[in-house]
Amino acid sequence: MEEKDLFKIGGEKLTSRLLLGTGKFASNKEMPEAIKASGTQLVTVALRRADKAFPEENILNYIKECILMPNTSGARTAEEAIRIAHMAKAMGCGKWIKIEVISDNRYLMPDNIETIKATEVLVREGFTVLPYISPDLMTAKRLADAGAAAVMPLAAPIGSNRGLQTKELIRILINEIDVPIIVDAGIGKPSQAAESMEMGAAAVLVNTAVATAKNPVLMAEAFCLAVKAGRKAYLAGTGRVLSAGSSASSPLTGFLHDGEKIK
Amino acid sequence: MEIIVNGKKTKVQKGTSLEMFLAGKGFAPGKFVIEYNDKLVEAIQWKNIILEPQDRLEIVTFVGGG
Repeated sequence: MEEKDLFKIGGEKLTSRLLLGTGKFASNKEMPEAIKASGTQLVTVALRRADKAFPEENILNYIKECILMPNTSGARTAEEAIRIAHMAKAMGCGKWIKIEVISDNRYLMPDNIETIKATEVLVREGFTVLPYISPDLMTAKRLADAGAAAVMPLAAPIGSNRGLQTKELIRILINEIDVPIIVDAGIGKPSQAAESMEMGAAAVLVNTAVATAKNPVLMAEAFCLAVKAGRKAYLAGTGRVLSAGSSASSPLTGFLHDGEKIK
Repeated sequence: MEIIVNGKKTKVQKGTSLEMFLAGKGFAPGKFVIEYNDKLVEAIQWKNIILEPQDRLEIVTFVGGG
């Protein structure tokens, strides 16, 4: 079933619906095993000033056989995001870009308006653009119209591990937007990733929850299983929910006490 | 003379090419990207750029991120 249920995005067919961020790992050395355990085929990286020529561990040495999706973190405007996207492309690792524009330092909420502007420009330039947004239907519509390959609404503030706080807003995006909806930011536990997938999210992007777990490799595997479970549940179609009362799962006939007189 | 590298004043000998400067610091092409006075420059151009006082260089690379 997994072979048939491919996740198509930016012209690529992915078998894994889990995207993994590479920030906050205690050591880059933990990364290859965590990536492997997660089953992901798409990982995010950031672009920063290099103050040392030979950082002890260049991150590219620890990421193999995955699509690299640089993010534009650090950008406060569309213009800065576009500049970072150009630098990332010049690194020679492909055309994928996660647009992240944040000027709010307290809650780190994305600037949806600047994100739309950057998406419009970068799509025209041929990038595969995945914008990260506060879940908002009109923003998502504009991004889809602009040619975004997916739309990535936040579940909760970045790095908070607080789970699906914006569930109802994300559900609206899933119902109304034709491009894949990838739940990004705030997912703290595998159960929350599964819940996102059960709702019909196309994929989930996780970073802090894995990187800051006591055992990141085991947590990566747990997320892999949760995303698969949630996807299968979505495809299976969850059963109905009773608003009141109960409904026995076992037959209500043939009891051992059938025929006994009721005392 | 002084140039600005990643926002910091840095001393450079007059007549130094961008290629010589980067090689001297150990920056090899491939894992870094260079912006020279706000314009991206490919490695092939590095040897043709002679640094001038107050030139601005940004040297960036990939790091972990979500």
